[in-house]
Amino acid sequence: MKRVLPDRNPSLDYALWEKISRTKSSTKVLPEQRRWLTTIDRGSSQISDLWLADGRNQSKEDEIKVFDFVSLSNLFDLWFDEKKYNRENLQGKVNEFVEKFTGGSHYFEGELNTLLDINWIVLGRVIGSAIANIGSANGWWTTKGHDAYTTILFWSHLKRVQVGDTYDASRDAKHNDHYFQGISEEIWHQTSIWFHDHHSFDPDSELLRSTAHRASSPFWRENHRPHRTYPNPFALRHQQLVYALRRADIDPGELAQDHGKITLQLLGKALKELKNIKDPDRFAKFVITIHGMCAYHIVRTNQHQQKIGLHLFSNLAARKISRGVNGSNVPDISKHLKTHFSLAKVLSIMADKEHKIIDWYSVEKETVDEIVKDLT
Amino acid sequence: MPQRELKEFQNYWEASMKTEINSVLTNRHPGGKSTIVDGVKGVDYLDLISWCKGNSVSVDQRTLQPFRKIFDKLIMKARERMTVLDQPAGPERLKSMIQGVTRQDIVALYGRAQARGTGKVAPGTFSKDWLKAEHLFINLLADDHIQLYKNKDTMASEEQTQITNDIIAGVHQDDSEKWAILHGICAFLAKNDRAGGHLRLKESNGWETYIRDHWGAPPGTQGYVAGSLSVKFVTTSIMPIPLHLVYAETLARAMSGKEMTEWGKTQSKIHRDLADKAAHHPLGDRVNLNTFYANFTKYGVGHMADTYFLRSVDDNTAARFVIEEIPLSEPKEWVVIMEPEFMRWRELQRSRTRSVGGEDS
Repeated sequence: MKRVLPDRNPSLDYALWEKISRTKSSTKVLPEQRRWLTTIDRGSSQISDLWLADGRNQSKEDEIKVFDFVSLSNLFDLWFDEKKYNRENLQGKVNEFVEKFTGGSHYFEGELNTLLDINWIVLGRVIGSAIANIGSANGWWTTKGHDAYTTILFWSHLKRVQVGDTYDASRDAKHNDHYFQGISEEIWHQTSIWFHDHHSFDPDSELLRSTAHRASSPFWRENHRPHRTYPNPFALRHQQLVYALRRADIDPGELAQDHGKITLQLLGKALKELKNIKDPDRFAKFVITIHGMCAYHIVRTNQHQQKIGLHLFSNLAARKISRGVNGSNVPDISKHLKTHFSLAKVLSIMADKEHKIIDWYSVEKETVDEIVKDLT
Repeated sequence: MPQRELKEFQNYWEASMKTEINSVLTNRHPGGKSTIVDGVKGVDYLDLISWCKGNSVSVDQRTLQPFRKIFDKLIMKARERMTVLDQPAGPERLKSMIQGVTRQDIVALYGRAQARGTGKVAPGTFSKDWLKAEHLFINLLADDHIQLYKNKDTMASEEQTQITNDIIAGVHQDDSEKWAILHGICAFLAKNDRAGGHLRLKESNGWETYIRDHWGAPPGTQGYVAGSLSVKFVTTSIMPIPLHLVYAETLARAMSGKEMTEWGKTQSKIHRDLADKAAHHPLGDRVNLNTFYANFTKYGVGHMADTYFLRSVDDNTAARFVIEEIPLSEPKEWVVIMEPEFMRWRELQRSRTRSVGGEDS
């Protein structure tokens, strides 16, 4: 049944948001409203009172009915524009950076042209896992984003096996020289078995479908020496960034409870840096950070938070990239998504000013209904 | 449906990978369709790629993982063997290598075959993953894709014939778990473990050419013959699609069907519906975006529609769907253009149904 857009015409989302923008009818959903919404959202997304065809109250005090709209944060626009209008220069800068990474030219040889394409699906998984972890730390649900935590353990364990008992995850995150000769078959096998036995996770099989996009692929093997496994230098950089941020935290929590916050902080920082016009390399740095984040996320089969990560985030990205949709209404999203995670809580994490992955607006129901009526 | 898709795979495989030379059915040589050696062309992968595009589904990867893992292991072992062979001291080095999948490899992938016994599992219970491996091996053996070796280099012809006969007679289906433990392929590997018993992909059934075209040097690579695995890396493969993964997944889906829960069934239906609707468009390869969305919604997976536009970035087995704006439409409208190989998959499927009969659904 119709909530905002007619079921037979969902592609009116573009025109609807364009009219809303032109008439300046949208208002930002402010932090205090977001907090309020997180406290009153009940049940799965498709049955929650907040996202039905009747709209929701504007705020605790204001009973004017509104519909919510979300989009990828406008910070992403800076990236899309740069890629579109300055592609050659951007590719040149990214190539220069690759040269600076030890092992970078070796890893990306023949694949440099894939470095401007973001793997939105894996990025969605990364974000979904981080949201699950943050929500769990807040006591909102029990899913902890375990795939991301296993990922952290995996990279640490891999290094521990090579460095030996003196290994210290935080201190040794920046020591990667031993990787440039590749990981030997013995160490890889040993690590695989350990993870199979302790985490029901097999790194080899998780990677089978990821080889097509070298930029976000965690590992690579040469054709003529299939026993040596090379880690993605961007993933190693991400590991360093995670531990650097942790070291900078005055009162770091347990990593299992904290990794989601760290991931989104890193993403938020990379996004905000896109505004720093003094840095001519900001776009190259951004895409390398995103590739690192994706390549690091080695556990890719977990589906617990697929709907809030992969589908919610990557759908916003797909609509933006393919059709330029700058705002999608939440009632229709929630109807299709059918997620058991509270959508208000998920959106409030994504819209948090610390990382600002999405922009969140509300528009009066009456205005929306009128525009939809005109359009149809 | 996956059963029928498997049959079609088998047909395309036979027709594409092999040719008759001097009245003997032989692998085509590596290098692709434009490479002609002694009047024989290399492989034209179009039908196989089309099959992949139609059958690649994005279901929860965990459900298909055991099948994909073991099949990939078989491929990797064959690739490793050929890579060694391509090197100067290769044949000598091969003597010390076990050139296929052993019981130990399966233990490494799935853990022990039988449970030690815990509060929930009785001691001796056969592992479900091992059973899946057994099912996969049975299917591969039935279609002549693998061979059994009783030690490093001797084929286990008698045992293989016995197992094949059991499969043909359907003995393996009567009590599949018992058969697998006592007489199956995993049991064969266990019995011959110490002697070096293993399974090899049957390279002469097209697999050598596939491996060389997927990982080996394309024609014209300086210093290498087409298909050589000595090359460090390849940017443009003759066969860029890892079709063995989709084949393994389709085998998995066909087997799950027996338990009445066919994985990826919804997506298969969506693929067929979309291709049929696109074929009815005047240009024969597109649908209106609203129709595209409606197809997913009809099967209760509206949330997956947009993800389909992004899947092909990191999964080149997935069909590419491209959005194009309809010029001068107001309000704006779009069409979704489907990859030619995807359309070809459905066209071939329908032609086959017309020629052999059966239900087209």
